[in-house]
Amino acid sequence: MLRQRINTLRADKFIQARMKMVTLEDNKTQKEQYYFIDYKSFVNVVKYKLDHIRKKLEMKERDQTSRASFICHYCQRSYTDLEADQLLDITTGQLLCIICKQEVQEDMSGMPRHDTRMLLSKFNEQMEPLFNLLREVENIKLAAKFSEPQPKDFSDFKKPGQARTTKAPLPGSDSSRAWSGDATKKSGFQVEGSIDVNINADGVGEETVLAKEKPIWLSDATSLITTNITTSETSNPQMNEAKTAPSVSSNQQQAAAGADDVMMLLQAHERKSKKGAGHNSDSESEDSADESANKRAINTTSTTAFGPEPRGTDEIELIDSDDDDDDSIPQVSVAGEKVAITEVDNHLIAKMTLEEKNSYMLIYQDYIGSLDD
Amino acid sequence: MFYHISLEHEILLHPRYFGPQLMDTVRQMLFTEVEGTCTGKYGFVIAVTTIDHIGSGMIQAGRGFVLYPIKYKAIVFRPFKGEVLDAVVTQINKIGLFCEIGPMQCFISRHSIPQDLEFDPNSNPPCYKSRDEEVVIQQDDEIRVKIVGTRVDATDIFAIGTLMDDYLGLTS
Repeated sequence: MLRQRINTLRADKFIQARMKMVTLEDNKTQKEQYYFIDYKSFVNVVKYKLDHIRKKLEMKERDQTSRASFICHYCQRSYTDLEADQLLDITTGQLLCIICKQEVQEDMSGMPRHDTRMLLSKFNEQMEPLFNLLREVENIKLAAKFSEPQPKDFSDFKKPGQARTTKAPLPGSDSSRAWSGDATKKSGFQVEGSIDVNINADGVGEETVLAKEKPIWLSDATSLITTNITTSETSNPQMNEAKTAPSVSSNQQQAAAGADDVMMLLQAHERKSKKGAGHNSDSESEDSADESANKRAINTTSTTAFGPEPRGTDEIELIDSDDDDDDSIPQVSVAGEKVAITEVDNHLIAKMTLEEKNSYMLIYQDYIGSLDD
Repeated sequence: MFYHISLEHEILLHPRYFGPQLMDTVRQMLFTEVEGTCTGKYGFVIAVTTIDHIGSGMIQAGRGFVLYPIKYKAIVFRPFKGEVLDAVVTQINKIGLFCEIGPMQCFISRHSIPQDLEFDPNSNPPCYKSRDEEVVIQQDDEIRVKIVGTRVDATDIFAIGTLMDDYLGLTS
């Protein structure tokens, strides 16, 4: 019964199958059929079938117009619409039988019961929710991995919930846009009838939008984000541990020092107004859960960018030594006055003498080079 | 649909036309014999545009008639199912209406006329009209129809049409 149904679905291309040869423990090979839904073709099949229904309705309409619609009650001969010109008597405007010259009557038995146009509009009306759904999914592109999944061992499927938790899509990543990804697919095998293809499942879609609306790396300075991250980290020891684990290495101290340098340079590069705001980082860290989620997301990127993350106390020192960082910025002389290199603009460059300009260029190159390091 | 195509025809000319006006007569006869006719294959020949070649006439043995093979170009009208065309209403009755699409006759059954148009036998001339009388289709009115079927004979084409689609109906 199941096979019969599956074959029907397969013939209709609703589901697709993939065969896999499996070697059993006793070295016997066995064929295993894996069925899956290729959502793209599924949508196409639905569209195709709807189109066929529509075409059929239109054909019906057309057939009914070319049906035998006139009958002569005297000689019982029937005529179609296409013969109407032969029946027409131009002088009287009546339709007369070709043979017996009696007036023909409309054959009511072949009449359409109701307006065929109504049928089509009724079809459109009834299928409206489906059309809306089709319109919604039109622009959704699924990853090839999802559309044509590779067969997995049954042992994988038998661990309920595991797949869902391990493969939670990252916010902002491409996979989060593609329905609910592998997680949902696998859960479908475990719990019968629970394939909820919901684009906004787990609020992933919304979160992505939120992240787009307010990208923290644009609204706040990089250094401030880092401080925020560190404070949020200290408030979340579990997370801290999780982060620490991969960063434990022999050269941790060295790396931390390196990160300090980068931090100093970065903070020096920020605008002064932002530096002032940096001291309010504690209050910012008490933001909504959504924001902290965003920050954590950024934290992961900053970890990769800065190497092993410096831990709590180091970071606080870093904030304290914020003012001292100005000293590390090389200064250039502009018309005899010392100006920090970060504050030099076109206006000041114009004021420089030739020597000052040369020395400014050298210092600037060194400075930029050190930033790159 | 209209086509401009090359066609061939043979003119059989009576010996009394032999003389200085011979070729003019041949041309004239082509126009009268071809224009307005209908072939199942090419449809209605609307007009001869150019005469490409008039072959040398062959005198028919024992008769004296001359046969001229002619190659010409003409505009032809060939209706197709699904085509939307303008027509002039020629006759209206309770079972529908007849109209002319150029040289072709077309019948529109009352089932292919929108239901909001009702046949009024008492008006003079009889017509199909809506209840508010905003739309009135009567004889000599111009309507836009969609061809839903054709009957192609050797010498004639008859069509049945419908007014049940967007932008069909009264145009005048």
